[in-house]
Amino acid sequence: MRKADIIVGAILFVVSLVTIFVIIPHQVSKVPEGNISPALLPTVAMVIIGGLSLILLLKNLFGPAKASRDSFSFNAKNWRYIGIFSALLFLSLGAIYWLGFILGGIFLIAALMIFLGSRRPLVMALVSIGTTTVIYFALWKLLKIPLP
Amino acid sequence: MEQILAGFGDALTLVNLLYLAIGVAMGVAIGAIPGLNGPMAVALAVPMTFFMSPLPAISFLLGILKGSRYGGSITAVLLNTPGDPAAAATCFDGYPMHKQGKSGKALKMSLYASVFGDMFAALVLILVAGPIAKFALKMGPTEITAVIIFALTLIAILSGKSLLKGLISGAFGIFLSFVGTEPITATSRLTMGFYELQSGISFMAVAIGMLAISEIIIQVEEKITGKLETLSFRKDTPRENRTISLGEFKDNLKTLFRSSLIGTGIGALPGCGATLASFLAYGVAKRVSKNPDKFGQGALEGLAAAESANSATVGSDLIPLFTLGIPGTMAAALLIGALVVHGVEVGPLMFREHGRFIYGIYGSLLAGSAFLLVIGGVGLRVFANLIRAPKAIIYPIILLMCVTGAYIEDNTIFAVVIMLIFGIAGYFMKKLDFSFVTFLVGFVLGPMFEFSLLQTLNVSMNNPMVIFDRPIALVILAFTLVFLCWGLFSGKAKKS
Repeated sequence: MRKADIIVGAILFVVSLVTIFVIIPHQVSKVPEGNISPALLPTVAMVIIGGLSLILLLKNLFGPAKASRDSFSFNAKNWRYIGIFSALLFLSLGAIYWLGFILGGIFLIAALMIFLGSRRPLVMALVSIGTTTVIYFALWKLLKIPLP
Repeated sequence: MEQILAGFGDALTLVNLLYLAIGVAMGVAIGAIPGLNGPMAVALAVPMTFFMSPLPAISFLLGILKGSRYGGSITAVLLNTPGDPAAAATCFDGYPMHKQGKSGKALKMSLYASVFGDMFAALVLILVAGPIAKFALKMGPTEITAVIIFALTLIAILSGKSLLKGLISGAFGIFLSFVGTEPITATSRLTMGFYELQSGISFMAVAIGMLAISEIIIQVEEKITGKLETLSFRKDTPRENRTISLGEFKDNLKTLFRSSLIGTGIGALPGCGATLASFLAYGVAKRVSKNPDKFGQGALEGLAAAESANSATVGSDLIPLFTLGIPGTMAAALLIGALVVHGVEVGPLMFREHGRFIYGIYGSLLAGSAFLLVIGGVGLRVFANLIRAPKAIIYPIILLMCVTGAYIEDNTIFAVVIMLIFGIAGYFMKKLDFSFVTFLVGFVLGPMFEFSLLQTLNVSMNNPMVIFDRPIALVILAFTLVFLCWGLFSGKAKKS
């Protein structure tokens, strides 16, 4: 966890500096004199984040090494998994956006079921079509809540 | 006395009880759908009341509010997905209990705590609404700022394993809550050119992403790598994991009273609401607990605190409404609309002109608590049975529910993208031991703090010394200081 904390501390420190000196000045509009600047509180929050990240970084760089029970392990396998899963999530979202709630929802459920090892087409069809249809009718037809 | 008896008699008529029961049942079902919350359900249900007579109509809407507040906790416990924002704090201990195979216990505790908080607030409304409303009116922006400063100190208390990482998470939550339009000057801020961010980042999208989506990502990863923990709600679960014993209930009685009091107090303050109440009660319960280390890992006390506080706000929302005609929350504003439609003018004269009707509502509030106990009990069994399906079926269904929940909150696909981004961020936060709890507390409190602080400064011509003219605010800040010092010294004493 020590190495991970050093990397995270460094990243957060850089993020806080970029936010304070680049993002906030460009992303917060000026207000007439006499008003409290809308940038004040976001800047204060970021200064706190920057300060704490620096402490996290320095503490792990120069502090005494502690034997951690829950050591952090994140290998290529984890990166591959999170990459594929994120792609699947965004692809399903794209399907909902482009094809509509019913077809997109069926795609999302079926794709995730395959990802989780389900190989029975009938079960997949029943679950994906059934769930999407129930949600669609309950929310859109019954409660008139718009769906994508 | 005649009016009281007549009002309670009206509340106990078959028609009124029937509509009340239907309202509670609808509320439980709607509250359990992520993204649909009580006020939204009331807004949808108001047109249905047009053909009803006034008391059954208002009882029906109050039933929906009561049921939905509890319904939100069912998915919070079983799926780590808060049905409504106020149930986010329920996830912190409810879901770990579910993972430990104590789903029945967690669901029952959340039901009993909800009924307790709900009943407590109803009794406070009936007995001492007047003095509380007068006191609540004295709570201006300065006092509200002081209350929120007190709540912000909870970030340090709720930090979990690493104080440093907990504080960073909390500060990040506060920072991201500032995205959107600044409340006083209406200036656009940190929106990166996305017009969807003008109204800020949706709390439901953030909460569902961080709590539910990140958990799904982790559980699916563990299923693939064969390390999945058992999530169970089986009939062969030991009895002590399915029920709440009288002894356990008694052990949590103090927490229930304290949290219901916090919920009632916060609910009576205009603009604060159930989410603040549940986080505040949870933080205070952890601070005063003999076993604070158990919080976040399935502490019954934590669950009891969050649930009783958020349910207590249903009744206490009505305190400023009935006594002064001021709606403190969206739900109360919708109720005013419904009351006006039914010919009831809201305000201080309400008791004189519609005394019998008000006592009828009081009767309905108490009867509603009893219905919540019965219908909630049935509801938890139904949902617990649904969750027994295999994981390859249940996770995809939860995911679609989460997508739907995030979408219907804002009616944009952008909110769903935000939810997924926070889900992935939550996955890394979990891996790196950054606290979700403090992030969400910061995210909820940030805008409230900013709004009340800016109001205070505007009213006082940017003079922060105004605090010394406000004795209630001074007392709250002094209490905050004592609370912090107590935490600091008791922590040191424990370490030594």
